[in-house]
Amino acid sequence: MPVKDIAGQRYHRLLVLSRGPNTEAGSARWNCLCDCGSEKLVLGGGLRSGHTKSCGCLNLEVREKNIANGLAGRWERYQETKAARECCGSRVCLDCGQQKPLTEYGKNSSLRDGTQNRCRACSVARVVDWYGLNMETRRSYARGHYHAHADVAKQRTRDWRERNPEKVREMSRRAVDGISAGYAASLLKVPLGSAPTNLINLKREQLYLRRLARALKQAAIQSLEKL
Amino acid sequence: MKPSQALVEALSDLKRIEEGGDTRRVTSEMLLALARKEISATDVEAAAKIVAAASMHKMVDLKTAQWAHKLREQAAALTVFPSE
Repeated sequence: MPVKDIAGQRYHRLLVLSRGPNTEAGSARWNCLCDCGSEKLVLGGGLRSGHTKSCGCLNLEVREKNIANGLAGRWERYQETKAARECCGSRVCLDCGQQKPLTEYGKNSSLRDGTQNRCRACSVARVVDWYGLNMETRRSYARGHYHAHADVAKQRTRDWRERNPEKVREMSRRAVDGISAGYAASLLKVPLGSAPTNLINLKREQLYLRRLARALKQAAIQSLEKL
Repeated sequence: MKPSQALVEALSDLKRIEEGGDTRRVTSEMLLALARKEISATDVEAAAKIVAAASMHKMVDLKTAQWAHKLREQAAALTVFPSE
């Protein structure tokens, strides 16, 4: 099959100069001059289909542009990380882009170097973001899990209470005494910052006394019921 | 029925209860005495009424303090005209 002469024609950045040697498979190749000034031997099919547009300079330019716009560059960052790791035991975080020592990264045995790609602070921030966005999902999952294993959870709580009587006593004491200033302010219907301290303290004392009165009354009722 | 010494001591020093905030201790002593059957349920009920009255007293104090605070704020917001 005769080869079409395309000498003198322009394909994107390439100007075809002359016919070059064929490939081993017999495909026609052409000597081309790129706009950047370099010469290159290019397949004729690549020129006509538009697959080959330059000597390679166009690809480099597009890549630099993409890296500048944040659309590419993971490979470059990986190379930087690798070099940093090999020279001084540190790597660049994928999120914040800062070079940090390997102790700042969590472990991940499934990755090649055994550490996470992101530093601990960035990992925590990602998890916090995720929880914030999926709070309802998490809650419904936890609720469903609890209902599915309610007996186990209740038994575990009972066991813990038996094992730690001091902690249980402390918790119950705090439940009685623990009337926070915020709770008192909310009952007074004033913001905590603007409420005077004496008002808050008075409210706390009043709540405390009311609780004691209620406890005494309940004890009296129980005692009467026993009789 | 004879109340325990600790309860008598706890109740005898009322000033200390008022100032030192020993209400909790007195209450626990009363509950203990009730469990030991040293005092009757009626006594505990009476004590509950006393503590509830103290709570109401605090409530009145609180209302007074609230009004004082509110009036002070309103007075501060009043515009004072310069004397002619």
